[in-house]
Amino acid sequence: MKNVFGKLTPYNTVIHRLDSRIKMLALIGFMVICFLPYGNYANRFIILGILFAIILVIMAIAKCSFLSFLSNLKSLWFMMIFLLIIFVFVPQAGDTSSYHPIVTFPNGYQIYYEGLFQSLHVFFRLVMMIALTLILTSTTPPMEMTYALEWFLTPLRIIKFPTQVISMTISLALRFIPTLLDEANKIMKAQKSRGVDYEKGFLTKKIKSVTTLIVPLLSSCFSRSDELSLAMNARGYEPYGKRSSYRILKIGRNDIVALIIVFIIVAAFSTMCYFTQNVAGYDNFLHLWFGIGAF
Amino acid sequence: MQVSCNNVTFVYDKKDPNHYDALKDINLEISKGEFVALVGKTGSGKSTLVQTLNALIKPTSGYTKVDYFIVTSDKKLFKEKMKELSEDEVKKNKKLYLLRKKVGLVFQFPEYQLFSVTVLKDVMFGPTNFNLTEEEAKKVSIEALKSVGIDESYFNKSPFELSGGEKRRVAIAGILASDPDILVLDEPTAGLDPDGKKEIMEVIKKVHEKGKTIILVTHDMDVVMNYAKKVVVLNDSKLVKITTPHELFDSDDIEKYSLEIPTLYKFKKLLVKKGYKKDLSNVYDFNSLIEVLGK
Ligand SMILES: Nc1ncnc2c1ncn2[C@@H]1O[C@H](COP(=O)(O)OP(=O)(O)OP(=O)(O)O)[C@@H](O)[C@H]1O
Ligand SMILES: [Mg+2]
Repeated sequence: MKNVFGKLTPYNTVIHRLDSRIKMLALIGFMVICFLPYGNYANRFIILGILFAIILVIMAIAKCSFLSFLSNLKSLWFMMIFLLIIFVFVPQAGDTSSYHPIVTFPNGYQIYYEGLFQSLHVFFRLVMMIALTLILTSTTPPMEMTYALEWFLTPLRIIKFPTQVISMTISLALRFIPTLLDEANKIMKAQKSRGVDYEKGFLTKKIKSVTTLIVPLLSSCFSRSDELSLAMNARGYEPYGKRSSYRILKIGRNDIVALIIVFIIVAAFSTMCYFTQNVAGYDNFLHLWFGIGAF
Repeated sequence: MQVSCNNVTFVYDKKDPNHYDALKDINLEISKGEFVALVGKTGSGKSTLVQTLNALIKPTSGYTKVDYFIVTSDKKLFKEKMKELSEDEVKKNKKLYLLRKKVGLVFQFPEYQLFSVTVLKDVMFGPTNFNLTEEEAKKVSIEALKSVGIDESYFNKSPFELSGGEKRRVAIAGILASDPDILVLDEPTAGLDPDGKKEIMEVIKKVHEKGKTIILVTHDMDVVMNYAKKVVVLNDSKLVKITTPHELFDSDDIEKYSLEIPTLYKFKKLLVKKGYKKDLSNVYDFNSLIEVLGK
């Protein structure tokens, strides 16, 4: 369960030391280029493959555990099946005359290679998203992420948007995730002692056993937040007051270098996207140059 | 033997690079109808040990045995032990809820396990899970609630409206209602006022008088002195002593285990220190103390 959020790894690599704002920007940049279209499927897979290789290199630099990456992917198999069914078996919309059928049923219904590729494509993007977020969460303490978020939200202060309150809320929420997990674990143990089996049972029984966990968890959540807000008040917390920060974010030389590298990568991929989408012939450049990949 | 721990060792998180044994090679035997107190300083492994008794956690190596139920995560050992059992018993070993019915475990601060709409329904939850019919469950639950001193006028209240002490009693009734053969309580009196403490202890005593085995985790040495017949001392994950309360409090190494000495024994030690010559070894309560002093 804890793995879902990605645990901070105890190393001190270049990526760990980078400014959290840069890392967030890089994350956004990479995600955007993940989702850009690059012409036909052969192109897309090649280009995304290059991108994935870059991401793997970053993972290696950040000493991300490849095992935890794989264990994150394990939960995706259901998604994959779902995608396959939707893309492959649901009839394609629009013009399918240029598509390549795998099989044609007697009644004229066709299943296309394109459907298969589409689902693989989406899946590939998801895998990369997970890799990217894993890199961020395993190299950045949650608190630094909230600082970064607060920094990004500062312009909104002009329109009187309470950025400090939002960032305080987020950091508190992050702070309480492990506590709540512990609590849930404790409650589950107590209910198991009363004969609840969380693994077995049919739907109605499952719903019942989940309520035995959710109700106490919610009730303790509320009482906890009550206590917390009282404690904060007692210590003079003033949401709209001017506050200083224990940690001051500072851009160093490494950060600038990283920013430039990210910029170059994003620019390169955007260019590829531009060419493959708008310049005639390039949407199929592999075919053009190497005579392969007619898809 | 009704309960036995055999070379029980337990590690919480094996993947954690600096993991340690929360239990180290524990050997312990408890027969039917005993009243055992489990003591030791904070973090010595008491709660961990009692959770192995109803398979909420399974010993990393070694095994606990409750009647014919074997609890261990060592698969080879488990298979070996299964060979010694009859076919019927092996079958029962697969049904964890049978073990959980046999061993009723009341957790530290059990009030967080309440979730039902009414007090009565909450107490009925355990027995219905253990396959009692609605009627039977209701009957035993009303009995259990009355035995812990919850008045009938409370039965239809929401458990969330009760005071802390009342919640605690309802939670204990929730375990008692399943009529376990072995009642395990993890610090049932923590945070209660003296009256509440006494009442809960009297309830436990009554259950014991019905011939049930009681295993009580506590930091309260007065409780140990007044109720337990046997004391098990844990220290730094190891079992260091199995003795009677009288012997434990009279011995000199009690301070080594960071246990508090009950008032009577403190007084006895003070008398000896100040030069009192008569033999005090038979003094185990205030009556016998007065007798000796008056001679
Ligand atoms: N869920 C858990 N995950 C990891 N470690 C744990 C967990 N629960 C307990 N521990 C560790 O195991 C050791 C024994 O804990 P345990 O709860 O059994 O102590 P205890 O004797 O019950 O203490 P207390 O008197 O405070 O209740 C402690 O060092 C504790 O940090
Ligand atoms: Mg404990």
